[in-house]
Amino acid sequence: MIELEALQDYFAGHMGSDVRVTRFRRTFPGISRETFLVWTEEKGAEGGYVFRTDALGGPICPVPLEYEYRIIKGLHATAVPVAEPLWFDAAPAIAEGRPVMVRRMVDGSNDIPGLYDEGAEAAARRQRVALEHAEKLATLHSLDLDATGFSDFVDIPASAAECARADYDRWMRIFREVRTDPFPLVTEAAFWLEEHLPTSAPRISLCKGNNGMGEEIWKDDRIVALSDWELAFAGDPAQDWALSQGMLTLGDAETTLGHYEDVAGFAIDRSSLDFYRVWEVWKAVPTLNNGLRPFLSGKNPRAPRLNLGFGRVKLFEQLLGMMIGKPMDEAAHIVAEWRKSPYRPENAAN
Amino acid sequence: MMPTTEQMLAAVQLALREHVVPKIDDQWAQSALRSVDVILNHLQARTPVEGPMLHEDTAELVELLQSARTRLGHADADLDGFLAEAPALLGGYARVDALQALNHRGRERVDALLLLCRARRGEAAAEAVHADLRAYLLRHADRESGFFFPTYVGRPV
Repeated sequence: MIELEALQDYFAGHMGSDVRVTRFRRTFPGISRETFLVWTEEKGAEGGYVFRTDALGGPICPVPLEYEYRIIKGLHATAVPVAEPLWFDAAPAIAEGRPVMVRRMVDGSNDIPGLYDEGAEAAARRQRVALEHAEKLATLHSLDLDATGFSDFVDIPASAAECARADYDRWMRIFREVRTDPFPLVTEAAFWLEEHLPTSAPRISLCKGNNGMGEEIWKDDRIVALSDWELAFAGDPAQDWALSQGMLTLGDAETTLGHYEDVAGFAIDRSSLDFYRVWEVWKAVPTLNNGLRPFLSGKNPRAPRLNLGFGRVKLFEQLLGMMIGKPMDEAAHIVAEWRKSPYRPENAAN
Repeated sequence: MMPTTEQMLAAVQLALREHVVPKIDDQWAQSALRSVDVILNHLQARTPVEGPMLHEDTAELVELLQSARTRLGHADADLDGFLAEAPALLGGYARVDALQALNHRGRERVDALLLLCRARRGEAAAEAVHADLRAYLLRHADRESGFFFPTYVGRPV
């Protein structure tokens, strides 16, 4: 449990004794990692910071916090909007040895009130929001990975044609390392997917991983910071669109993708997009199942870990069972129908 | 007559829904109650049928793995151990946790055989065993489907 006094000492230790922490609150939901908004008083002015640490027993996503920090740090020097990264601590006492990163708070929200209102005006607004997101993704996907330094620490596929293969190999390795059950159906689904790996990509891009509604910081219908970079990777930009959390259903999907392609200057292969929609369901299994390990060891015996790391994983296993062996476009259609289930990511922040 | 486990879990759920959920405004507390509600749904679906399901599934695993070992000519000490120990457990009254552990071991062997069949693609025996393994996997998913679907459809936290 983080306390005000400990935060005061921690921030003063990094920023000097004239900083006073006035209040803080934990953001919701934050099951993988714990994020706190911290407000300070500094020379008569108010400051705002975001303090982020691993949950007890480790994050759900099997990626170190330092990786996310380095991604944000690298992006801050580019045209991609991110919160200013301030420091990373590998194992500070305040978090009982868990890693911590601190960013400057951005004025905005991950929620867009009224976005799902009825009527033509709201529909037009949703399309504008989708186009705004498309432009930011295009900026991200156009970065030069060598010039920006990402190729120094991000796994880079050997060629654009190898993007899907590289992601497949990486996540198969993670799956076999972290799984808490044999999951033979998931292994079988991986072999089926391997037969359909895309063999081309427009370029090797820095991809965000989870993106879209609930993942970014908005103000006045503009993205002021792309947030949550723990699943960032180098690969086919089509893969980011497969994880765009409701963005392609916010307006007209082809209008949104067409605008992205105009800004980015390259095209998204729709059959690759189909593949990645199914592949992301598969990837959710090791990603979420990793979060069950601290539950089983007793380090984090909390119900959300159980529901995400076990129940949700088994649900995805069921979904893979429904798709296995089917043509990829048919499987992608099953995923699309599934996404219409009562849970919509864009409702998570409500 | 004793109330069943399902009835007792349902009573806990009803108490929470009627008297606790309407009074909670805090989003973390609401989230915790949603998680508890989902777990109670899962347990009501799983508790009455898990034992028989595991027994049926593991009995099928024994036949499947025995046949696969013969057809592939595959030597595997873990597979041999599973096949030697499973009949005794399945022949008597077994606790659910013992059945879970045995079933887990059997499915580990299925996973290992999937890798083997993958490595021996093109061989008739490996293709036939692979088809049987996949058919089993879909039956296994179907057997436990009610534990997870639609229970875990919905807001995850």
